[in-house]
Amino acid sequence: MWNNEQKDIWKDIKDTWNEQPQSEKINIQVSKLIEEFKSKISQFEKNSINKDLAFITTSVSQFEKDSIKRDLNIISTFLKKVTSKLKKKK
Amino acid sequence: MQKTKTKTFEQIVEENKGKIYRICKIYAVSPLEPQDLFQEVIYAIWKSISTFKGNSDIDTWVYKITLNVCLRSKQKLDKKNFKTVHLESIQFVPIEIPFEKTQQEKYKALTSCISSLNENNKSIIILYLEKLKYKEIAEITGMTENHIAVKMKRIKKILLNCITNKL
Repeated sequence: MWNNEQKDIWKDIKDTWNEQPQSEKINIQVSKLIEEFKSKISQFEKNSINKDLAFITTSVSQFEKDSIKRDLNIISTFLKKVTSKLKKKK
Repeated sequence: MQKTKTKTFEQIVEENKGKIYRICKIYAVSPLEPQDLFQEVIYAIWKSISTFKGNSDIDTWVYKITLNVCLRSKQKLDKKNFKTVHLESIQFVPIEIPFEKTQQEKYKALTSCISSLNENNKSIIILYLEKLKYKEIAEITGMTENHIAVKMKRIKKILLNCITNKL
């Protein structure tokens, strides 16, 4: 009984999904589309690379950020030491 | 060779545009429009068509590409750098089909509940609603059939609760 009820519910849900109200009709002119792909291919690739770069930038982990911070600190302390020694020599 | 590629591409696009757009509508998050995602999927199909070896069913292959493009776009969406290419040869013509109010409400509740699921569960339930078998869903998602069956039980429960609360 419960099984049949479940089946009916999911049939209804599947129908709702597959017979969803269409708000737009999609017209595609394939031969023109292929020409467009060829002419706009570089822009598509560029966008894709930009998205990849953005993804990599946001994906740098906190660990890596901390590690870079530590390295920067070491470099700046070292530079400070060198400049102070140079000043002393003068 | 080129002619065959064009013909196959045309056939795939015509036969699958409806389902591709259905999925794009779920994954499009502002500023990304379903139309932008749709264009990207069509472009991805064009790019990969020569590598399709026929090892899997063409439908399964289209679903795989569509979900990959949709998931990648969502993960990589950078609002500042985001640009879309507008393709003149793909036109979205607004139509008005009278639809029962209750059906409209059901559809709204369903899409809103699907959108609230995590990415994995979202992909699985979309493929289930597209009437794919667990075996095909497993092939597309890279999970085992058993894993899909277990997950489906949980997803169905979550989705049904969510829809009931909304209606």
